[in-house]
Amino acid sequence: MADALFPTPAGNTPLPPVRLTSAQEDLCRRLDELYAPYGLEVQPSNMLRGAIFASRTECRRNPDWRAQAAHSLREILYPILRSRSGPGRDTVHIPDDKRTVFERYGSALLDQRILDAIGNVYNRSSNMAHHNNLSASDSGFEQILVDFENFMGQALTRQLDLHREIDQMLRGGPPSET
Amino acid sequence: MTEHPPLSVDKEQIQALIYTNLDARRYFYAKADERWLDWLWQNGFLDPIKEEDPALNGYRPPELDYLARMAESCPAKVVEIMLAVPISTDLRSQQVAHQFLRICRGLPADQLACVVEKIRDERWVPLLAAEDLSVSAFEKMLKTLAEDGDYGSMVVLTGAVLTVRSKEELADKLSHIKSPFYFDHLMVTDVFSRLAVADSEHAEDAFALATEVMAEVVLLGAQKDERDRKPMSNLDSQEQRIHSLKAGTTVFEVPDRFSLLKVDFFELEPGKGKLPSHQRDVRELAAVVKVLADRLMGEEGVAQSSARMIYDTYVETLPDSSVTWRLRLYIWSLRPQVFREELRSAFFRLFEVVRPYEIMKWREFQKSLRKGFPALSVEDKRIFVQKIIEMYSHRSEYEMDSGSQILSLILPFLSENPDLEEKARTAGFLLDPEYEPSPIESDIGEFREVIPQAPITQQEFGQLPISAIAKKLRKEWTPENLNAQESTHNTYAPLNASGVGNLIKNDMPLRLQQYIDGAKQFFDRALLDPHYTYEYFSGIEKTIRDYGEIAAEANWNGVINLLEEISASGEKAPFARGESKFDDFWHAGWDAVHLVATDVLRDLLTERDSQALIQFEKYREQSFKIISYFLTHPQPSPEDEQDEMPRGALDLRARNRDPENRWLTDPFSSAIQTVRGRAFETFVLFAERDGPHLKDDVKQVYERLIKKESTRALMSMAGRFLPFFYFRDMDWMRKFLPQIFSQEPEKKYLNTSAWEGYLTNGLYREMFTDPNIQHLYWRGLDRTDDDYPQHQVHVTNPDEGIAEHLALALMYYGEEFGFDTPMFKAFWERDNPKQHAHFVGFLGQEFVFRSDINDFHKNHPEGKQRLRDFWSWLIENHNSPETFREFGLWINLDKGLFEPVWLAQQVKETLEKTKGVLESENDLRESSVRLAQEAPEVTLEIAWLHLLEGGVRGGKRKTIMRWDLEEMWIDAFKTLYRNSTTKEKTERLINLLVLEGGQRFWALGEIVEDNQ
Repeated sequence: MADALFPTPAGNTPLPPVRLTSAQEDLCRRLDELYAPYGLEVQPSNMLRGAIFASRTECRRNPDWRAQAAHSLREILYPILRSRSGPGRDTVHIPDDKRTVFERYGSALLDQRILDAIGNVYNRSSNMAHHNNLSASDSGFEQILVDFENFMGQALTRQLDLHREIDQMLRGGPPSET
Repeated sequence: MTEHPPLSVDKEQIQALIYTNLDARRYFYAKADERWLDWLWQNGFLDPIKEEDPALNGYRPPELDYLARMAESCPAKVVEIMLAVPISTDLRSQQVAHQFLRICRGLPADQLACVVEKIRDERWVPLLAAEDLSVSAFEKMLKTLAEDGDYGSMVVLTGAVLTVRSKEELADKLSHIKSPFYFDHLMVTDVFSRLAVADSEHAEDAFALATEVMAEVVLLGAQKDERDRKPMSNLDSQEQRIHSLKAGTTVFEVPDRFSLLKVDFFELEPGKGKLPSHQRDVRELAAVVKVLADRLMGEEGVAQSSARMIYDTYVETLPDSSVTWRLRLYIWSLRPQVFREELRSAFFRLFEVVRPYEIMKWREFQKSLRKGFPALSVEDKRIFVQKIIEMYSHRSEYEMDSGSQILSLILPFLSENPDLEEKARTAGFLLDPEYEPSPIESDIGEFREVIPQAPITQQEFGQLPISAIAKKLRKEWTPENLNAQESTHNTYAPLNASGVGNLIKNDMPLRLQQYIDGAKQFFDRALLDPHYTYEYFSGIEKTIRDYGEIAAEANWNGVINLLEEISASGEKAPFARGESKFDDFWHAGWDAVHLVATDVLRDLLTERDSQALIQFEKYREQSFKIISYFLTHPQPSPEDEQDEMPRGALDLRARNRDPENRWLTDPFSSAIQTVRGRAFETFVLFAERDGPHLKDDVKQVYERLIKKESTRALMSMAGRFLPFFYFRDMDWMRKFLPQIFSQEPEKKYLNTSAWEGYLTNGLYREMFTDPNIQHLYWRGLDRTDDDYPQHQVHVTNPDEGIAEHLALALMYYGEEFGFDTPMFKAFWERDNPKQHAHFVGFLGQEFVFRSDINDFHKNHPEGKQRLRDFWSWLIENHNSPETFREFGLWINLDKGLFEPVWLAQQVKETLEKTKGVLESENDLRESSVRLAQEAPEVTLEIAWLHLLEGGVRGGKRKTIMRWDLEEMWIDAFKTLYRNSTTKEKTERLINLLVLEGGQRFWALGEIVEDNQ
């Protein structure tokens, strides 16, 4: 932040931390809970924060921001979507398949449609991270992020979340009365 | 708790949310209030009530529960919905009808009135009658309508309650249904009494209903050839016999299924029967018909035309059976002028049948004759009298009696016609102006105590010398003579030998010594019935038991001499064996005499307060001779045990428990019901009194008995009392063991019975460590079910018995029976899950759970460590889930046996073996809070395993239904959720429990909500 009234400080001014929406904060918490049983070294919430940080306007002068931000998203999904018999298996320590990972978490909405959609987000972020998509645009990344938040949010909805939603809905009364 | 703002949503969103999964749907309907009712109904959300919903997989639709919940606040709307939902006979209909009935039970009268026709027309009663609770719902609904004065609706609902079963249902031999109605407890609904008091506006409707139901009930018997069917009861049998007597004449078109033999319509009143039964229900129905007939046709002021119309419409149309005929007789006599023709026809029917007695015997016939005869024309009356005189003159005394009775009933007419009266008297008829038809005995269906009677009073009996009593027993009071003396048999107060026996027993304490001194007068094989010898000994036994002080003062010489005399007599010539020769009372034979005689000897030898009734040394030889004789008695015999159909009422009752109808009592219980078995008990007592070492004569009798013994009953006793003889002479017994536990194939069952008997004992170190006995345990380990008779009941299950002995050995004699001893290893290496499970369960029961277990651990401080070591050893060396499920009783933190962190780890590892299942869950539940405090992370694992894996995923209903008792687990979850190290995973578990376990776990959701 520049202000003519202030003198120029010595040294670089670091960028402030990224401000997440409450939905993003909630998703961070749930991602950490999703992976908690597996003891990953890096918190997935940090990766999501990193992806959002890397894609903020101030960082977009970095010519490779899309690949870097997409890479962070890809890394969140990698432990559950990569081939279980493939390379890296020993380093991520997740012995369960993707459905089991979500089921252990207590996902109430999980179905194949959501799993497929998450797979699609993973593929798109991988392509972007690996520079496979040369025509990648800003909006392309933003769509990946939106889809990530949407489908992971659904996958990480638990039964008490539904109860909460039902309570809210019931308080509002039936549609004809609202 | 954070309350999120209300959501504004449309129909599709609501649908998507509700139908996410079944729990969401249930949650929605459990929480929705009355504002939603109309909208949900209008938008088709409540349609699952109308149609089968496969998604529910047989569970009740949550929509239905919602509707029931709304009935209190919106009854009119709920009734509107109910009326739009069809009920048929499928599973959905049953669920819906059940819930609708719950709703109806609480509806106000005006709303209930809207539903009664639906209840009747859709036949809810047949659909729901199997559920006991529904009968109380009908009771409540009838009460609601009656209190509101809505008799019209009440009659309609009564029609539903009185739905009559089909003949096919009643013919189903497997169902054992006897009632024509669907409810077994119809009387509790007050249906009959309510119908009887319908207001005048609805009295005809009530009568129409009652007669219609009566017609249906009568028609249940309608089948010409049914007279050949097997009778359903004694009464039925009697009725069939009556019909068979009328060969060639069909008196009534319909045979009666419910003949109401004990009903007189002239005297019948509602609510007079005592015991609820289907016969009483039919009787009450008849009573209602009668009461309403009185009101509609008999009351003063009822026009003749009205009475005739009611009769023609509802009574004339009833099927023709003896019951309806008797009802008609009653109704006709209400208004003899109106029903003159019907009465004439009924009276003259007497001359049309082959056996007129079958008509005239009915009280209704006789009473209607008295009341209705005056209404007949003079000519008819004269013809009737003349025909009676002709028909009964010069007949047997019995038939003349019938004629006299009929003429006595119409005596006023004869008095007015002296010629006829003279003719009747000349013909020999007795004309009795006081004659009344005999009243009904009302003892049917009531239980009364049978009290045997004696020929003289107790006081008179007490005046007789013993010798005079003994003389009378031989002559005038023999069972045969008493039987003959009874002029009219009284079922409940019969005169018989038991009555005399009671006199003896009551008199004996008053002059015991006289009875003892005169003992020999109560035994005489030639002249005295054994029943009286039995009564004598029973009196002695009772006096010893109830009058100890008197017994202690007596000189028992006479009784000992009597026992010796019986022994000598039996040795000389065996006593007869056999069953009772009298039907009406239990009559003792010689077996019963011997049985009670062994009891008397045992009582005489038994020490009370270190004092026996007889001086042992003085009577040793006599007692020994008597016991030796009793031990040769033929009861029990091997034949008694080979019979797969045990005898006697108790056995019959036990056999009914066995689905395959094959049942054997356990050998030990058998033994103590027999002469030789009880003699063996007395023998043991004798040996005990005889000193610390067995004398040679005792050993000889024992050896002789065992060598000759061929019943499992006595061999089980030999096993049971083995320690007793073992400790009195170990060397002798060691040598004799192969005889008791014979390995000969033909004695296999004798051997296993002895083993089973032995296992009923506690464990003795000296015996357990004796190589000769150890050998028995090794053989015991190898036994299977095939080594025991099929379907035998065990007094101690041998699998359990051996497990208990070895468990005791582990706890008490750990030095001799440690984890490395061959027998311990062998026990756990064998594939016998029953033994293993019992071993663990027994240790838990006896050394952890029992309230007095601190005494053991105080005296055996090593016990705690042994329990811990065993649990750890088993986890390491064994895997059978069945065994580990028995650790439920071990999970105890109150006795100071286990430290919480250690216990939590053991429980977790145990539950891993059982996939979360425990046989007994209470102790884990009760320990859960402390475990959560002391070992949170492991306790969370335990909760995961037990509640989620074992309960919800394993489908263990008991766990799901009882997990939240006293909210202990809920408190444990609160503790875990408050703890930052377990919070996250606790929430995860809660979500899974709610998602997969549903409503039973919603309470856990509040923990998360409250802490957000």
